[in-house]
Formats: sequence, C-alpha cells, structure tokens
Amino acid sequence: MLMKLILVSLLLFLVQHIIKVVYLLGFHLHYYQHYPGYCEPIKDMGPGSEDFHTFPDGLTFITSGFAIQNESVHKREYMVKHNMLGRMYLFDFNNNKAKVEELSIVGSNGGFNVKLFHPHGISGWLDKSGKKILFVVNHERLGLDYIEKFEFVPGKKQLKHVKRYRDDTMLLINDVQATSDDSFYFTNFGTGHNPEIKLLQSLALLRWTVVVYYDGSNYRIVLDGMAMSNGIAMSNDGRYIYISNHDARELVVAKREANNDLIIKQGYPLYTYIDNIIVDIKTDHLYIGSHPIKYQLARHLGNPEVYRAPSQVLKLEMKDGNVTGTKELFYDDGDLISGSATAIVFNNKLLIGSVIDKTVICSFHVPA
Amino acid sequence: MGYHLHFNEHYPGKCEQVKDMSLGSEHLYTFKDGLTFITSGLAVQNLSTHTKEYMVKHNIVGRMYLFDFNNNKAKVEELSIVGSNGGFNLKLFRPHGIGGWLDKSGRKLLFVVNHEEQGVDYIEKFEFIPESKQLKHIKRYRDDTMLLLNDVQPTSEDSFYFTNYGTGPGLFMMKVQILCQMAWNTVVYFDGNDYRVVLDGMAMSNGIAMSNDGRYVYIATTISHEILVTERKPNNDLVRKQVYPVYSFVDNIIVDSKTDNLYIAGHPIGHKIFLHLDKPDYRAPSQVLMLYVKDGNITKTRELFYDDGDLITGSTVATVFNSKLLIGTIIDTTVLCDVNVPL
Repeated sequence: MLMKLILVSLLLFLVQHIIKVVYLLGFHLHYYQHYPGYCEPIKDMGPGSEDFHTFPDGLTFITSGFAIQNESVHKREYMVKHNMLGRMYLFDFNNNKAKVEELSIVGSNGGFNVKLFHPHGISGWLDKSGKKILFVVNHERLGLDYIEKFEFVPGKKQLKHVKRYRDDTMLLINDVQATSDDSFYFTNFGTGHNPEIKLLQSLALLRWTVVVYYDGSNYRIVLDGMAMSNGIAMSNDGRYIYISNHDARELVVAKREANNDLIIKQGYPLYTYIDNIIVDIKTDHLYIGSHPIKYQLARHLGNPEVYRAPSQVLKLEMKDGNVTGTKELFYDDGDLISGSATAIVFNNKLLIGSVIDKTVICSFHVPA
Repeated sequence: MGYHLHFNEHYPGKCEQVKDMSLGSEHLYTFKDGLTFITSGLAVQNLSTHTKEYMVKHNIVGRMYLFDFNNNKAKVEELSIVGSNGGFNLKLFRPHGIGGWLDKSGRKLLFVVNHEEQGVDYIEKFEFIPESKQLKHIKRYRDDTMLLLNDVQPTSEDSFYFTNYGTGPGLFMMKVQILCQMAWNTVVYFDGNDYRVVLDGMAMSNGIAMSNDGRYVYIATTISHEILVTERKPNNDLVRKQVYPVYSFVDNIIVDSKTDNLYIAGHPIGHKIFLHLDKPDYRAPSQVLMLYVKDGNITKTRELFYDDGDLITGSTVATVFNSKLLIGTIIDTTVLCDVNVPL
C-alpha cells in the first residue's frame, strides 16, 4: 500500500515535471516581428558575435566563433563550412557603415595559443592611463576554459595578449565583468564540459551554476543556486551586478557588498531566455539579447545550417537597482538574424550580436 | 484564455492620446483624402451593470467623430447627426462597425451598424455634409438576418456585406459560443433588394473589409484567431481562399488604400479582454498588426504596436496614413502615434 502510494506520487511528480519542461520549450508560443528602423546584416564577418563591449568613445569589441568543447557533429561541420574560427572584430559606432575590421591577436603569455582560441563573453576596462583592456572568456579547443586579458593597440588595430587567468572554479565559463584592471566576476553556465550532464541539468531544471569573484589574488564563489547564470554586467556606479539567470528566464539584480560579495536584491521575471546584458553608459538602462522560444534555440545550436531561431532585444528601465519597465526593441523570426545574444543602442543605432549567426545593425527611430 | 502569455511593449514612434474625446472608438473609416470617421459609444443591448454605470459616469453616448490626418494634431471634432428616416432616433443611437463609400458625384457615404438602445440592430446610411460638419441620415436597413451585427462593408451606394458576431443579443448564448468555440456566425450580403447569407461556419466573424480592387473580402474571426481571405464571385458569393492564423483575438481590419496591406487591431490576451468588457476599469493589452498581402494571399506579419493597457486598453481598429498610426478602442482612449519604422 505504501509502496503504491510512493510510486504513484513519483509518477505524478515526473508527469508534472515533463509537462513543465514541454511548456518551457515553448512549442505553443507565437510572436510577431518588428524592427525599430531599417536593419541590415554586417558583411564580411565570420559567423557569431556572441558578446561585445562598447567603450564610451563608440569603439566596440566583438567576440566571434563561439564553440565549447564537445559540440555536435552538425555544429562542427557548420564551423568548417563557414570557416568559423575564434576571432575578434572591431566595430566603430562613429562610422555610419555596417562594417567591421578583424583585429590581429598577438602574444602567448601563459601558453595562450591564438590557433586554439574560441572566445565567448567579454568585458572591457579603461585603465588609469586610458588604455583599453579586454577580458575575454576562452574555451580553448581540446583544452580548458581561461579568461584572457588583452590590451588594445589602436595604431596597429591589434589585441596584445597580456595575461591568462585559470582556476578550478572555471567550470564552464560564460561571461566576465571586470571590476578593475586585475579583478573580475565571471559566470559559469554549467558544471563542466560534459554535454550530457549539461543537458540533464537543463531538463531537470536544476540550479547548480555559480558566479565567482577574482580579487587579484584569490577566486571565490559569491553566488550560487542559479539555474544557468549567463550574461553578467555591472551598473555604471559599480553598486549593482546584473546577471541573466537564463534557464529561470529572469534577470537577477544583486547588490555588491564592500567585500565584493553579492546579495540578491531583485529577481525580475522576463518570460524569455535572456543571454547577455549591456548597461547604457548614460542612462543605466539595460539592453538584453534573448531567445524567446527555447526549443527553436536548442534546435538551431545543434544544427545551425538547417534551423533558424528567433531573436529578441529587450530594454529594461532601471531606477535605484530596481527594474521599473520593459520595452521590446526588436523581434525577428530568425530569417534576418538567429539566436540574438547581445545588443546595444548607441548613437541612434542598434547593434545586435548572435551566438553563431549574423550580426545586424539597425537605425533606431522609436522612443527608447 | 492566455493566462500564461507574456508580451513586451513597443511603439513605432512617439504616441499620444487624442484629447477632448469621449471614450470608445470601436471602428473608423478613412477616405483617400485623409478624412476619417470614427464611431464612438459602443453598447450592445445586454451590457453588464458595471459597463452601464461606467457609461453613465463617463457620459458615453453614441457619437460620430471626424479626424483629419492632414492636420498634424491629436484632435477630433464631434459631428452633428440629423435626420430620422425610417424611425432613426439619435438618442437611441449606439454605433459599432462602419464602412465608407464615395458615390459617383464624390459625396462621402457612411454605412454604420447601430445597436439601437432597447431595440434591434440596424444599418444606417449617412451622407457627410462637409460645410456644416454634419452627418445627414438618409436610409435605414433592417432584416431578420441581422442577428448581432458587428461590421459592414459597402460594395456600392446601396449594397453591402455585413458580419454577425452572435446569434442574437442574449448574453448567455454569447458565453456558450465563446467558451465552446462554436462556429455559428454568418456573413450576409444585401444586393439592393434581398439579403442572403454568403458565408457561414465562422467562430465570431468580426471585422470585414474589401480589397481595393473589390476582388477579395477579408473577415476577422475572433475566437478562431484567424483572418479569412475570401474571393468574391460575380454574384457576390464568397468563397474561402486562405485562412491565416493570427494567434490573437482579432477585431477589425482596414485595407491600406495604396498598398493593399491590412492593418489589424486585436486583443492578445483573452482573459484580460473579457475582464475589461465586464468591468471597463480593468486594463487589457492593445496590439496592432500589419499583414502584407500579395495577389490576395497574406504573406507575412509585422507587429506595429503593443501596449500593456496603460496607454490604451482593448484596441479594436487601427490605420496608418501619412506616417501616422491611429488606434481605436471599444470603450477607452484613442491614440495617435508617429510611424518611424519601415513598413
């Protein structure tokens, strides 16, 4: 009798979980396309622009060629077919053109090898002398995850590799947020490189991912219990850290303590799978690239040659570290751009990057 | 019912509410010169108590407004209505759908659905007198095929299609129809002499509009969330050509006089619009879509406008003219937006 009760309960629990997962995959969702102005894809660029950082002068550094260790066969074929390699691009908002320049990457500190470079998240920092420093997440091919520090050499359009960071807390890094020229937060979006375990975590809706802080000497976990921490960004005054909790479909606003610990202040539900966050330099509002229909994103990442995934850009209005309103700036079914991950509005232009697809620039004519 | 749905707001440009206007602008018709006639004060015969109180409180009565797209202002003028042919009584006038027609001498004719207070449904024909900003009542149409009228589409100065969105004024049958998603509604044609049903089996036929060349008639079927494209036969029968799913409770359709594309307003979240209809203080989201049409086939959709209900609640009709978007509602504000995005 008791056995029966236990078994039935377990079965019911399983059934409701499956229903929840199917619902979250979003087969039933329908949205409409709309654009804030005239949009065009950027030409002559390798696939992918998963993250980028825009400095106050409009120079934007884009990571391209996203790949993690252990990907599907289709994805690898896609990379070969489209000559998809780890690259860094420079986009200048001051030019009125839909063009980028590829940056040459030099240096090999700590064993850094540009041939095995696969960049992901990025964060910029202006050091005291005005030099542009970039921290980039690197999923080294057939190797481990590192955070690489580069210095931008403007005269030669070059990124000089300066330092390499590595620690056991770097399980499957997604994004990094610099807090000085030698300290940063970073997010893990998995607990390791094994794709089956990652899939299981996603399907079981487990909350095992963590946010880590490096203070110049030590690494320590400052936030855990995240369903899949993805993008991370800091408010202009350094008081708040914003993290996209991707699988929970919510934005986490955390207050930064004096010792750099993070205390969750607000969990704002967005009902879409958010990726990277960029903070507007003037207004403190957030631009978020996101994936509205989960099963289409999963299908696209597994087989990008065949499947498109919708792209969505949201703008979140912030006041004193609280989200006060949302606006949708852009929605595309996937034909113009698939799998939008990052976005920014600068100089009345909207730049949108995708995980492994095109990069798009739109003129921006709607009230922001 | 859409309890699980979440959408985000976005606007095609700066938006503002039209001032000094009574609540409600359920339908409108824009002539090629930009003059737009708006029906206001919708009330069917069986309203909820809340709605009746709301109408008294906000002085909502049947009115007709004139909006001119050539002025660059968010303002309307109320039109005076004269005439009483066939027993037409302005005091009992409750307008709903509207269709316009330019007769051979260039006169603007307007066919307006009227849910006469404590009476039955009629289609009223008016002539616009520009000098006195007046609508002169000319003719009244009535037939037993007028069960619960929604919208009218003229095909000449004395013939038209109209849609029924219920099988009668009774509230109970309407609820049954909605909850059971019954396809009971009809489209009727009046050819100058007789009325006859030309299309049936629709789950709440709502807005109706005709393509510029008169070949196609578009019908919004609210409960089944579709736009029906029908071909018009020489005898004015309608044959289904395309059924385009829109995933929203679509209301009225306006055909762009230059491009033949469709502007559609709808209610994206079911439970919210039903709550709003019962208690008008309750806010419901507003949505405007543009459907691209090629050779009578709808090819794609663009969402022009989405508001959670704070700026405008329960959008029923929308049109774009001169790079401006005008949006009307059942019993709420009317909004005018700049259209700064490519269409």
